[in-house]
Amino acid sequence: MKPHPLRLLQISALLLLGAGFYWPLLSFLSGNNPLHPEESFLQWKFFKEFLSDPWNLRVIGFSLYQAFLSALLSILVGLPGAWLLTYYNFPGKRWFRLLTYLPFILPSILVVLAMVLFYGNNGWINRGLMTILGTDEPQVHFLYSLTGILIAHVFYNFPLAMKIIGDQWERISLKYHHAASSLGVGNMRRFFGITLPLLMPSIGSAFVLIFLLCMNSFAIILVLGGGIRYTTIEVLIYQLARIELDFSGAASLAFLQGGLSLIGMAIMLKGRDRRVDQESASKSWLPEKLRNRSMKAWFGLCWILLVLIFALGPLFAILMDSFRKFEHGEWIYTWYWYSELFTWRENNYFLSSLWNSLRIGLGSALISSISGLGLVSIIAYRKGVKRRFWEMLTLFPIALSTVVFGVAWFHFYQGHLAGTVPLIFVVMAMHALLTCPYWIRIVLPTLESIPLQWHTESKMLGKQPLEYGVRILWPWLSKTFLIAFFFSFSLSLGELNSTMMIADETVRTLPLEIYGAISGYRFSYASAVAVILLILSVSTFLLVEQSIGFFGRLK
Amino acid sequence: MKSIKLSVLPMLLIVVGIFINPTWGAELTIYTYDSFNSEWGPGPVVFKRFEKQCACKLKVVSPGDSGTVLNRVILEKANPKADILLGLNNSELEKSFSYDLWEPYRSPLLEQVPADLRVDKKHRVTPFDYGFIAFVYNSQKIKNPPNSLQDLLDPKYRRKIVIENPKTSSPGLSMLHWTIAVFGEEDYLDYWKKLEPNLLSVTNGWSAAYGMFTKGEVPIVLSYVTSPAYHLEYEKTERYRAAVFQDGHYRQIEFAGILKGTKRIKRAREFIDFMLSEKFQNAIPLTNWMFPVIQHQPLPDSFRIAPQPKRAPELNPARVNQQNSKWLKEWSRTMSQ
Repeated sequence: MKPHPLRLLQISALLLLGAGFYWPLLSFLSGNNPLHPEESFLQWKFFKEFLSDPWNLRVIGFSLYQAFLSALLSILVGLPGAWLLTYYNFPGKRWFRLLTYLPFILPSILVVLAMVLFYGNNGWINRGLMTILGTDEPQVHFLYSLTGILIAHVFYNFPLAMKIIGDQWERISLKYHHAASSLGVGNMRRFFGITLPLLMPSIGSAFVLIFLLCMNSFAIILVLGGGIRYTTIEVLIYQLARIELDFSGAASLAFLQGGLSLIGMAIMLKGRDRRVDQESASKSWLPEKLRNRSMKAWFGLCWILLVLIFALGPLFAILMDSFRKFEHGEWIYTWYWYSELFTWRENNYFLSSLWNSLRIGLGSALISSISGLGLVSIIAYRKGVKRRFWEMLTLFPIALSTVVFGVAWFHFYQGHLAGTVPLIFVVMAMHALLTCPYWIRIVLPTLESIPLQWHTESKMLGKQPLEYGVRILWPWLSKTFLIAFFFSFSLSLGELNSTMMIADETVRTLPLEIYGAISGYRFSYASAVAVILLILSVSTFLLVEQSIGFFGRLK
Repeated sequence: MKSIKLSVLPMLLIVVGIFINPTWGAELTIYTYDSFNSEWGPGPVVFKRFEKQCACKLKVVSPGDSGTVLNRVILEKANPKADILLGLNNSELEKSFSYDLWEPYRSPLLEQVPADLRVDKKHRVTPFDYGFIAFVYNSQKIKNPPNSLQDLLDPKYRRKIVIENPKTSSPGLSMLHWTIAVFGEEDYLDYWKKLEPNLLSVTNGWSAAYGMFTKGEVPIVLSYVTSPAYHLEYEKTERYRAAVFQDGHYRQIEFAGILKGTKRIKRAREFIDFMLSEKFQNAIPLTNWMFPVIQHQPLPDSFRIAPQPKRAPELNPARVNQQNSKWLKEWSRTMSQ
């Protein structure tokens, strides 16, 4: 029998995941502690001691609690957006979608500073209020509490929820809608009785991703949470790995954290047994509906405006900061930092970092897409235990703390790859491993919205798998692929932690440039680099989109 | 159609370019922390000068902050890749000794280094710069700066101070040691408890804390006595000042050393000598914002705003190594009650 072309993809994806993630990790953890060769790495004693301390249990509890709340809120904020994108078109919709993804590209230090610039006690909102009310005291305390953590996490993650849920919503057939209307079912009941259950797979998918992201969050928790009261497992892992140099402890904790995340996921990832008829919903033109005084449309407009302020405010603050320079006792606005970026000097690393970021980003997004495709084809349409097994297997790379991932990879790299494989490919592969789970979560709900009959029918009609892929799957999924690709690319652009350990100057990237500038006191220069990073990723998105459109027209 | 072709072309170029990568051989491998080798740090200047002097090629690797660099060296101990580790601070010193990482070397130039900076009597590591942590304040907002750790407890500073977390950052850890040195193991927690209401945030690292300070979020930040010099040098302003404390300031010394197992011991020694020479030392103030261990030339003018403070009592490194975990544990529990 001729092997199915997908088989090859599946095998290479599993190879990457196995050889690139599980093997290095397991061989590192099952080996001896490099610092104390006589000890084994994971010690039960550590777990027992750690878990018997009530203080540590509280830390675990808080980690789960804040991740749960953050995921819930992100979905609540993202849901109206998904609805809006499903039922309305409006001017600038494409840009609106694009702009809300941008926070993901920024390294965490800049997300934190952007939040401070905008929501801080002396931030834009408070300064605005202080001017209006004529006081000197900050009026609203957004940050430095649990609220601060949640605001930042929602800022970061709601676009993810909006995207994943919206993608599925668009495919819910209007038939259900009409049937419900003709039965006289009200809007509310229709939403909770029909739409919401149909959306559950994508809501679950988004929830799991955001939950995992927030479990591993670190800078945001410490800086915007005020740093004292709120400690998470990730902070303890960092402390053990970086300050106390206790790898064994750090790895054990990372495992505990990963395990807890997986248990959480197992509960949330329900099997998908509902298959429904699907077709694209027709969209109304928002300005027209506004003129018709549709309540819904006005609600949509308010949501857009609020989100624009909420999500773009901090980014705009970074943009403004990149034009600021303090000189002779006052702030002036100038192109200075940008001209610094592009002037030639001996130590100008900016351009080479830009180039490295771009190629690592594209390379890893490519690898991530290819292996993602293989893995998605394994998971899709499976049910029950098998499905959960595969889902967890593919999600674990992001459930594990990057601190430990970095160390394990480093060990693996030194032992097997150093000197044989160019570092840049290694970094690409690492980034691909970290971004692939996102790729999968984004594509999976949309792929599964294709009725299974299509696959079987096309087989019965004797269509070649490749033809089926190009004719049927590609048109249905190309937009989702594009977004998943762009998302992987953006995550790779902002990624720093895991690769630092093995990196050297040949793979210096823009986030490193940002951190370097900041440790050299050049905060506004760092903002300028960040703006370039954002422009870079937006233009790449447009470029890729154009090319896909081009290839789409070719066939 | 034309615009489509135009957009495909760069895509192709990029795909081709992904696979081009430069490589070269090097004669001496140095590990250092990231900011030392950033565009703005001393790295690009001093490493280039050394390459010129020795007519050889350096390979510089900066895998993260100084803790990460030390991690990496320890992990590689069985199969060392680096000849020199540059940039280890006093609180990490004892840890490195316990792993027996070093090949001792006493540079002839060490004579010129003040005796109290030569803390390692066995010459496993050599100091190259030092600094003091300090509370830096905005003098436009704070008219009567605090002049002791005790002063920081004043209610008028409520939620006006940002520091770094001892669990995740080196200035933060130094601050913890500072308070232990000044108040003793019996009373330091009490001090922290009282300080807590005045802290707006305890950040994961220096960058976030100092960013919050320069963006006007707080008027007081835990940084270094030399921080104001940057603003004087590049922004021509004296509004940022370091508060000089009567109890003295906790000192951070940075060291470098030759790693055991090096095959280029001569070159490595040459580098340590170079590190104490004027070509290296003179670059330190305006790039690493620390004090050089040997002043081959007077400090830059902007350093007039960086006071050389009285030294605080210091903790014995062996004791730090032994007690650190316990202190951090006690600290986090006290602070999160």
